[in-house]
Amino acid sequence: MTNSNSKPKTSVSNIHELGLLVACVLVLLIFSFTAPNFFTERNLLSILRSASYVGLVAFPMTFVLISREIDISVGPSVAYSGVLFACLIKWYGISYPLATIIVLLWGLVLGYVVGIVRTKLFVPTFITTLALWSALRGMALWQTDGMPVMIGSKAFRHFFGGDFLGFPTVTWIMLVVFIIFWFLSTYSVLGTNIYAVGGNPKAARSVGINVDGIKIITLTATSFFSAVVGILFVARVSSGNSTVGEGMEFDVIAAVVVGGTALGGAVGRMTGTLLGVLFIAMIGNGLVHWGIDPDLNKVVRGIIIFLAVVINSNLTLKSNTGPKGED
Amino acid sequence: MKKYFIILSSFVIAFSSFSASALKVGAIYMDSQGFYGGVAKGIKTGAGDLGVELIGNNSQGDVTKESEFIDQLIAAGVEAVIMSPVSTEASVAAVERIREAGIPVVCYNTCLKDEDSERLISALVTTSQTALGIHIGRLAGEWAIKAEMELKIGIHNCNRYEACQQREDGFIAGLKEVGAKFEVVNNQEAFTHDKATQIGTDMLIANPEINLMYAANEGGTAGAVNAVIAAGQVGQTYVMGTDTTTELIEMVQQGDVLLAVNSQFPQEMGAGAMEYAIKAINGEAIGEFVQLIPTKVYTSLDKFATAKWLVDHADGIP
Repeated sequence: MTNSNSKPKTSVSNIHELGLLVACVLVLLIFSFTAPNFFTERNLLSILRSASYVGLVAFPMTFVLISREIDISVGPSVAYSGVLFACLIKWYGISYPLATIIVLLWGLVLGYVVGIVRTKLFVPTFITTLALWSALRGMALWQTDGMPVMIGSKAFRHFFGGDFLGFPTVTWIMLVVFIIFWFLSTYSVLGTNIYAVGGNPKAARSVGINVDGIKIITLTATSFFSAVVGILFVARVSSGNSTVGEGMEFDVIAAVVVGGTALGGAVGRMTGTLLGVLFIAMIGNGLVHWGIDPDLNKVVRGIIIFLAVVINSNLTLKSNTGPKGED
Repeated sequence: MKKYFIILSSFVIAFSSFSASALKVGAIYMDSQGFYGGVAKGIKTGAGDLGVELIGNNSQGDVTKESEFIDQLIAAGVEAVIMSPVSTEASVAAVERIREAGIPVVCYNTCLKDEDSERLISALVTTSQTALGIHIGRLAGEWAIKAEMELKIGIHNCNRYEACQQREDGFIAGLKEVGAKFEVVNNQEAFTHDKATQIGTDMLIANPEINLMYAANEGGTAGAVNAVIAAGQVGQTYVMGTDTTTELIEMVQQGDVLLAVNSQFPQEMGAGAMEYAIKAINGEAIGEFVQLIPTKVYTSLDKFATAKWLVDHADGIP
């Protein structure tokens, strides 16, 4: 499948990713020289761990944005999935594997429904996921009265919330997922079709691409991985909590956009998203190391993300004339 | 648009409760932590045989949401409002509207400034937020003095809420009061389980000299314990925190990381507020304006008290 709108101009994406890589190295150097314990094995692993949770949702979110959709229900979806998982185990005595399957199925079904509502009822994903953003958080709170639902298995907590072969288990999972999404975006027909749909849906449809199917797949993937992160958060904090994942949707979208994906669709790469995720995780971690005022921390984060997006917008303007078409 | 929304939602609220004969009371919670589940349970208990039809909502620490919900409660014809105002100053206008509608207001947890409380509020049932911090501060200070060490402290704050700032101030005051040597080496906003776990881990890696983490709420406390374990600091860093849940009490019982929590008693607070609301509805004299619900510190050494908490709160609601 070839299409004039498919896949971004590689040179500009490369420039962006190279720039982001330089920015990552600069941030790494600045914090390493100014915060004594920043450049240590333990801290770098902590950054990786923090980035991994965001990354797991950021990769499918990259596809969602490339296909000109958005999902802002990530945080509550993570929280509800975790609560559902913990409740199934603690309240209903369901085994860990079965609870995992149920929660992952829940993630798939939810994403599929969002996709159907988008493609058959023509409701913008922003609206549907905004509704879910409220409903899922509310359900998590209502189901638990705002109380943590603890889980007992130390083996589950230690493995999925701990380390494997010297790295956080979640980082291994994130790396596998990254490779899958990188392969899909770079070498598969599906990846090419996603770019084509984001570039010009009418043209994509006219050449026989199942535009609706593509959108449903990308939205389902985001919801599925939100459920995965929900389960991994339970392992991390030893309980299902209705309040986790607060603002995670913005962390995820910020990482994807900082990584070079255009909100207007058609432009973005998984390698950029990976760098974006690491960049934001490093900043968050480094600011804690500096021990600056927590309110100022948010200001600094906001400014850095804003600057990164401004640079990205200028670069993508050069690479993408801004597709106009249906949807 | 907003007006229509308020009218519509008020209609729904009013219609859904049309046939009820119990006292109709509005309750406003400030956030969604489990503490407020305890308050809601206490309000129902406080109504006793009278029964209560409770219309509750969460202002999420936002005065505009609080104001909107107050309009809905007035329109729904509640007989009293039990609330924890978001702000001592910014909530005044909305509370004035309740009073203008002839509806008594009872504060719990937080309230308005003294002069505004006097003219607008029937009663206040609360825990001293400053004392909540002071008790833990004293305990931490005495522990450090006994161990002849200087405390290097990391704090998980929730200072977007005024009450949390008061707790933190109280904690520092408690340390000073007993003459402990201390330094706050890092202080970050971290009050949900996930963020507190990650931020606490980063904090302990940045400042491994931290030997005490103080957290101003339940999520921050649980996160601090997770962080100490994740950072491999068990035996070097200890945690003292705020509020009780089944999770936290069990952590206190283990005693290897979480040494103590200072607990509020939200059910007692809710029950006390409801008791005053009934008096206010009936036009009875209320007596003391402020009813203070005492706090209790649970330590890893007091096995009986922690076991009793778990029995008394078998449903998990604090």
